[in-house]
Amino acid sequence: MSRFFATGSDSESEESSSAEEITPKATGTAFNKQNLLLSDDEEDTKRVVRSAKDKRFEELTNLIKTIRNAMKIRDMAKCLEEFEQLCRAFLKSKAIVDKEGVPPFYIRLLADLEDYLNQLWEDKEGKKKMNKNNAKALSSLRQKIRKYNRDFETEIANYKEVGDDDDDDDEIWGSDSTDSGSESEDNEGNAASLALAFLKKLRRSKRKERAEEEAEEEGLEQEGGEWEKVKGGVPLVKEKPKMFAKGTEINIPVVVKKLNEILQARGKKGTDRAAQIELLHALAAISEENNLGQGIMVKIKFNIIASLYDYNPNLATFMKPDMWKKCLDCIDELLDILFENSNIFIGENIAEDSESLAVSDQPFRVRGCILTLVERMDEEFTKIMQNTDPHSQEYVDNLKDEGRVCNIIDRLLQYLENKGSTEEVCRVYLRRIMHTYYKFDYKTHRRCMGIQGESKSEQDQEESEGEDSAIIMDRLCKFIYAKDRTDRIRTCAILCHIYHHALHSRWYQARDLMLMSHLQDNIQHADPPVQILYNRTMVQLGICAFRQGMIKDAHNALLDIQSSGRAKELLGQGLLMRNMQERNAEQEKIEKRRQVPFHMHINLELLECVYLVSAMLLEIPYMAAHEFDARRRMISKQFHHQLRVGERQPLLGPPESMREHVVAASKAMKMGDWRTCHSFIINEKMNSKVWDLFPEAQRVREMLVRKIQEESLRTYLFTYSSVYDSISMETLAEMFQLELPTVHSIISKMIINEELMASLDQPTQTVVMHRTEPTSLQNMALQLAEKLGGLVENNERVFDLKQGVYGSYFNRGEELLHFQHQTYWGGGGGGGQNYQKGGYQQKQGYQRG
Amino acid sequence: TLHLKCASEKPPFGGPCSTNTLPLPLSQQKWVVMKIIKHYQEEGQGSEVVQGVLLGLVVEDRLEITNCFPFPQHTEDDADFDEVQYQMEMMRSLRHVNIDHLHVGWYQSTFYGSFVSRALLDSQFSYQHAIEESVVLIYDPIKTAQGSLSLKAYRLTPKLMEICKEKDFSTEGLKKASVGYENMFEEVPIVIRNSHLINVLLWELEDKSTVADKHELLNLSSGSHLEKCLQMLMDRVDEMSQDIVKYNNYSRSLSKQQQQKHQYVQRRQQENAQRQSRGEPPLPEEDLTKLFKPPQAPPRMDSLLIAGQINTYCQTVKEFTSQNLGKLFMAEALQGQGS
Repeated sequence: MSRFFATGSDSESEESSSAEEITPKATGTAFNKQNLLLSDDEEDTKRVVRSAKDKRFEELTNLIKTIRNAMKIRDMAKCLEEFEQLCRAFLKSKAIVDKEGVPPFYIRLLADLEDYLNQLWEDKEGKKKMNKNNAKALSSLRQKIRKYNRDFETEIANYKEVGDDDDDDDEIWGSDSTDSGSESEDNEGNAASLALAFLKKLRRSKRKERAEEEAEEEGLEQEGGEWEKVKGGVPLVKEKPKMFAKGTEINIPVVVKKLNEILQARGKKGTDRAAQIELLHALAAISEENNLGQGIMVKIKFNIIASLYDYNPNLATFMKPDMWKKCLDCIDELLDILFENSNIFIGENIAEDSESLAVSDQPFRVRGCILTLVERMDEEFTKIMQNTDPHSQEYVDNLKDEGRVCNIIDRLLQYLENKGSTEEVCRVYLRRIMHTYYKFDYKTHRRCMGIQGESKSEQDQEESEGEDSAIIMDRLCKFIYAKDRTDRIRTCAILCHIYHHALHSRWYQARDLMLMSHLQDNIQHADPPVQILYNRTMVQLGICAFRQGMIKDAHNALLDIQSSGRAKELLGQGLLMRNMQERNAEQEKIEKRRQVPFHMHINLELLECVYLVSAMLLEIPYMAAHEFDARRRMISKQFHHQLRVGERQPLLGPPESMREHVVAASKAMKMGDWRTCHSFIINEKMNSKVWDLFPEAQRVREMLVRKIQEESLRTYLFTYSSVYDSISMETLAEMFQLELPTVHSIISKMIINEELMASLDQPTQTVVMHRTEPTSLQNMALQLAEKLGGLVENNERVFDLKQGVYGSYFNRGEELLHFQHQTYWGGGGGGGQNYQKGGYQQKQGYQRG
Repeated sequence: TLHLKCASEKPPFGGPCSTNTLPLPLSQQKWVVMKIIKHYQEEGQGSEVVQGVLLGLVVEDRLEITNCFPFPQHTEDDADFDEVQYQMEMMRSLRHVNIDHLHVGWYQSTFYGSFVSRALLDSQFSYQHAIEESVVLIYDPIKTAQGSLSLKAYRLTPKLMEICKEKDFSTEGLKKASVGYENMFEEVPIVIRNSHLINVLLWELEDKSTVADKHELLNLSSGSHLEKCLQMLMDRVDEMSQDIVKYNNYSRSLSKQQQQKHQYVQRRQQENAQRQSRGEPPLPEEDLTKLFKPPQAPPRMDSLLIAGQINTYCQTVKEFTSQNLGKLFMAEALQGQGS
């Protein structure tokens, strides 16, 4: 049945639903809708105008009714509210009013309302009885209506003249007619009222027409309603005969034909997708009833799943929970069938006509790709997670489905390992990896903690158990490394592998893999999701390095992400607020689709804290060492920014946020006060905010304390070495709670690196300072000299250019002999050179008073 | 009247070009100096600058400054405050009480000797343009606080006046006028005179003052002052560097354009020659300046001023260090004696 089918007479539409044509219900409904629409279109154009008017006027009359009711019960607040609405509604229907004139019922209300209000106003005692709200509303309404009525003065006057002979009945049209009649009788030569009267008469004649039409339409509507009722009421059982004519022998070709028929409606406008799914289910039931074999079942299942995916026309929206459940069930069932019947071949390459669905000795061949379906399912799952509020119970409930998703992927993996091509295996492996890499393997972690002593047998044990995620990751990834042909899957696998290593503190493996893969060189060419994965991996790597105490590595790994200030965006964990010029709605949608679901997020505060603390441990000693160096470079801009923010604070309270803690700690460290620094970095607040998020929190804290002690010692030596002639190492060891050998090694290292001008006196265990560091004045002079050097260089460049153009430039000084101390170019150019010429010997004595 | 010469008279600064013009030796009443110092003490602090008007008259070949009054401190609130109006009124009032009321210049305090600036140049130019003999007195409160009064009088050299009049600060203009940083300003020697009574009082005070009051002259710690000077010097050097880079860019783009222009003209000539040989009329001449707009030349006055400022700084530093060296030697000698 085409939608353009013929005219919209009822008899025909009824015919169409009769049994002789096998019309699916879906198309039937579409037809019906169309039918109604058509009947609408058939109406003449006048009616459209009038119906718009009716709509508006009805709105107005309804409002007026409520106002009158409110007047009756003296509810002024309600009155005011409704009146405001009425004004708005009147404004909306301005177009119609302009055409038709102000409706008399409107004028009547205005007049009545004003009278009523005045009356109330006058009634002092009644006013006193009123509650506050009502009194307030009364006064404001009175003012409002006064102002408002000014625009309708003539009309109201007219109305009042005519007198309020008619009572407050609801029959507006009827009262209208009396109104207009009397008005026209009065006939004062008022053009407006004339026009009004004329229009009204016309309207009345029209009204008669309309009434007839309305009756017609109503009848039509009723018919339609009945029709629809039947449709809606039809249960599944009744539909079955519709699918196949009674007595038709149900065999495979018929079912396939039917299936195709259903599928043809797919994607068309007006197709009821829910109904389609129902139909497919019904078809599946029928085929099962008739024992048509697994081949056809598989085919129908494929199509059910596909149409489930199709249910949402928009790619951005996510599946509804019931659809999702259905989808999972279907896939599970499909996999069940596939596992049970090893003689079914499926693949996307099997052509439609070469399918063999019949039960025979030959294996079934069905077109369709289960892998794609599962991948799509996985994506839908991600979409659902993206669109659920991460802080709700709903999210947790949804997340519980992850187990099922993983289970399905696992089963598919088993299936494909036996049957699929390597390419498919790679794809499904990647899916598996994607569901594994971000999860911390607590089981293994605990086991490792438990049997730390016997590390050798540990690996054997793990291997034998085979459930360790590291082993799985290793196996899957290595397969992909070896077999994958597409670059993308391998890249993702490597990144996930690194992430997994990093997550489990296998720093060296993670680092080596990262370096060996050379991903850092060409990641900018990858697509955004892979880049996000890369960023996540780098961050995890950095955090891992931090846990291992490799502060520098941690800082380097996190630098790129943190320095941009857009860590949130780079990790796909949320959109940054930006103005609309930079990103239109389309882009925003795309970006939203890239977001990582909440349960995979990396804690941004943890990330920032790790970064800032590593920056602090690097930067503070560096700053102390290069206090006067003009060419000092910032190691971490962001850290400096935080310091500056801290300095700008007019009043420095105790630190609240993580950043403030780090800044306060940095300040303490600058003074070499490790105890304060320690208490700022590691305290209850910071523990709960940051450090407890690590699986090995205690170990990390110990490492941190140690680092703080060491770096504080270095900072102390840099800052205060000029004050000492010599320091005993024992004192230092005591001050910083470090062992003597450690102090010794740190100081030796500083001396070797020429950071500290000192020597160690072995017998007395003291550090003897050499005092060769320049003073600040000397430093300044050095800086000046450097700057002057630059100046001279720049100046010479000017000369080089000049020489080409004005050859005799250098001779200028000789030509203009009376300039004794001629210098080149505006004088200053000579800079460093000329000041030594001795041109300024004038002794400038000072007058003394 | 008798004069009190407080310091040995200085040789005129400014070199050869100052001989034929009118660098009037200034004679100044002591109380003018006191008023300027007082003005700074009361209103100036840190790097803030105080300014005021000098009054006096020309006597023979001297400019005598006999009085002064400060400009009131500007505040944001009274934006419509008219300085000129204030000056005129002030001078009128002074005239009523029969005090010298002729405008002969202005004074300004300075922070570590930084005064060579565009603002100073502009205002001194307008003064000198209106009243030929006007001078600007520069008072250095920091040096004064260290024990030696620092007060200097400057005028613009006639050459600079010429340039300022023509407003030609281009490279060529400055070259033609042969103005360098060292002959932008000429220093005018100052002689301070006092009435006998004041002299007598001063002698008396000198006798009464204890030795300790003069110790600040012998202060050996010079680091911070020198550091500050170096800091400012460095800033100026940076500015200079930037200026030169700017100029460098300019001249590079200029020469590039010259080259393009040259090429264009040559091509035109060749074409014309060809056309001529073919008997066609030559191409019409086009306005080359329209085709090649020369790049905007950076004004050179600023760099000249910076150079001048650098020069001043260097002199200050040199003076300061030489004085301090003397002190250090003295201290060493004293220490040797003591031990």
